[in-house]
Amino acid sequence: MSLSPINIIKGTFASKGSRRMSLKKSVAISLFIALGFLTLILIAGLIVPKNVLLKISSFVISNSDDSSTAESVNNNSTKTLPADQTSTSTSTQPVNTTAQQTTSTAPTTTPATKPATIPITQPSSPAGAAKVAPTLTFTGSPTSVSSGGSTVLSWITSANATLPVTCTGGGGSFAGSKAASGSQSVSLTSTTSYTLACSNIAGSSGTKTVTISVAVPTSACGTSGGACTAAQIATHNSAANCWVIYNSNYLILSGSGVNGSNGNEVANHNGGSNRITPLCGGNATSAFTAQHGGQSGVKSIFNTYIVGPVI
Amino acid sequence: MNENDYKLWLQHYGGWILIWIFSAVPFVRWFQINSFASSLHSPLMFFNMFGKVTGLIGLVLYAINLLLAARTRWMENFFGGLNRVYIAHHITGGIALILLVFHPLFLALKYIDIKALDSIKDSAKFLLPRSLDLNKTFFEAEQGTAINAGIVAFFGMVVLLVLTFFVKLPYRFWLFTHKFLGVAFMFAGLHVILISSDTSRDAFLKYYMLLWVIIGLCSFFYRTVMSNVFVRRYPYKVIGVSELETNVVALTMEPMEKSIDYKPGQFVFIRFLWSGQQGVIREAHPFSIASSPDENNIRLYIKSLGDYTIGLKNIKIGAVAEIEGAYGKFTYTNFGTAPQIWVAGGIGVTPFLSMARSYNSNSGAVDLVYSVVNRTELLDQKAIAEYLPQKYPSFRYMPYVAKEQEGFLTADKISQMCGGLDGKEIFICGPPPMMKSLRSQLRELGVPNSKIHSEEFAMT
Repeated sequence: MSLSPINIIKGTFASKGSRRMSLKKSVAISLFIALGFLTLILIAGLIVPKNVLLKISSFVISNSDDSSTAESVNNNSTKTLPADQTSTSTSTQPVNTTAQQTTSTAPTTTPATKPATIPITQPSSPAGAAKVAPTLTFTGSPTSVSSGGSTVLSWITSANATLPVTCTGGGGSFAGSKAASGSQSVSLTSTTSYTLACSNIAGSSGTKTVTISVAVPTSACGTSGGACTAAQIATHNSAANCWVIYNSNYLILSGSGVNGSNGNEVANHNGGSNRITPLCGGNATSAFTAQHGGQSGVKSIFNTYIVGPVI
Repeated sequence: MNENDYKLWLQHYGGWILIWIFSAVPFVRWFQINSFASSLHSPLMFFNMFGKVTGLIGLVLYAINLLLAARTRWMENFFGGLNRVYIAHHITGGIALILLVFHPLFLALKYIDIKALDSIKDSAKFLLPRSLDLNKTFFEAEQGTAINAGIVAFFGMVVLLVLTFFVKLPYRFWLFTHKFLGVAFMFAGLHVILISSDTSRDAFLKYYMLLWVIIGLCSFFYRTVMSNVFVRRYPYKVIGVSELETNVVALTMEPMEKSIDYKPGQFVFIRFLWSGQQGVIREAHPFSIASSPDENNIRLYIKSLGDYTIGLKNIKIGAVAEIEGAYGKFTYTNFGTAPQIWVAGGIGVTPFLSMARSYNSNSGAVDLVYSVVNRTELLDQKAIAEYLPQKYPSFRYMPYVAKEQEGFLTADKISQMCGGLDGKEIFICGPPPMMKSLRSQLRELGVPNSKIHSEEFAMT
């Protein structure tokens, strides 16, 4: 019997001991994982040479060529079916739209490739399930665009792959017959609801609706998304108030109106603020493409800073 | 559930419900201002979401953790006793640590692009301290300050909590290190206030997090830095010390100014000020009061268990102590005249002695089962064995000496001795293994958990 206040205050006294043990264990495991990964990042980032890292990533890419990143969804119409369909189909990525659409638009599917698509189209149904109506996931990204902007509508059905699925879309340029899964870019000038319903012999998924809103630009150039001229943007040319042109849009990187995912990007820029400050007020397209053109991650962050169009 | 059960349930779980609500607020708000769908769109946004959310919830729990450690009496009403407040303190601390160690990891992971693995250099750079260049504008320097404050808080917290969870330090050293968690929190607060992120863009999130930073800092200053100013302590003088034969010291103390206000069964924190005393440690320790609130002096029975209690044998008459309290929800007066069984194990009898001394003709029927190993350990026999049962027929005293019986006290034996357990409120105080074992035995006999009350603090 050795109960001292330290046990009480540290919470290690006997009553309900099992729960306390598990908290201690969770803390230990979390510390191990988090500190382990942080150390790994620091070691890899600071010690391993750049070309070794690039070699590793090229090795990784060659083994998961069509893993579903945001980029592969956007570009899927230009991709072709990988030669080795079996190896890609074992991927557990939930939205493997590239492989999916290509398969569905190739009606001459051979028996050899057919079973390979089952794990993708039917992630939650047991193998060999009887006739089941398809379930449909229908999303748009982004869900809000500026007038004249475009959004990507993506959809995927899961059903017994042996039953052919047909889909019908509605709303603006999206109307018409669609494949069982896929994605389509639509451009719009006013808030539009897009609908999609998919069915097979067993029944229908029901109609799913995605509404893409169009932010009405204020007529004046400003932080709320109005069209700006290059001359207007050029006045925001300091580190504390930094606007840049990127392609046909302008971005606010610091000062009033910053709304990107990384906050004040001039201050938070990993490469240092002195890489950005000279670009403030000007066109950053070529500088950005040269530095980060191949990095989809950085590009996604950058896109979150877009405010409005340049006229 | 009758009204009292409902009140008790709220007293036990109300605090926890509030903790979950308070920590869910930044989570909900974050998803209001950031689209959840876009968070799932790419690994980058996914890690960004986890990084931000773990940081926000972690900081709120950290602040709540400090608030719980402030040892305020009103807090007991939300958790059902100070011992349970400390359990909540311990658990929120552990969860906050888990969330906060993942906060920088997720934010670092968002920079890694698997297709261009040299981006890991961006991640590593993100994790490193920023140099505070005086040539930079204030805003840039501020970001450096914010990030560096976060790094200091991170390492401070990890080191100090590793000491708490995984290293066995002597109590005094541990307490000393534990106090610095408040300092780590100051840096964490600086980090969240200065950082240019969702907290700087969204006014609600900004003020919500600021509120918790202030609550955490106030709690830290109240309890740790300025406790001599803020915490009410009552000076008492030792007027009687007697060592009983069973390794138990009985201390009688008299108030030097105002006497503390307490209910029978509650405990106090005592800190001896007289540093000339050999072997007496100066930290505040909890002790159950054995006297009745009607008496002017307080009496404590202290059994030599740890370093601290062994040292107390050296206390002499005239020693001065500061008393803080009283704390605890372990008191029979909360249950009106419902029939009760009090089960005491060894020195765990102290809260019952206080309760017995305040027993009167208005109290409900009580069976006091007092279990010890040897007959010589029985304390206060004159009062509880002779005086009370004679004066009040509804007070029954049942000593249980394990050496003279067939083994330890069991729930079955209690039921036999007291004539059944149905509808009775059962209070248990004794060695933790005994309390744990009796509680599970009583549950097996069909006694609902809400009818079993135990006190973990009373054992020193």
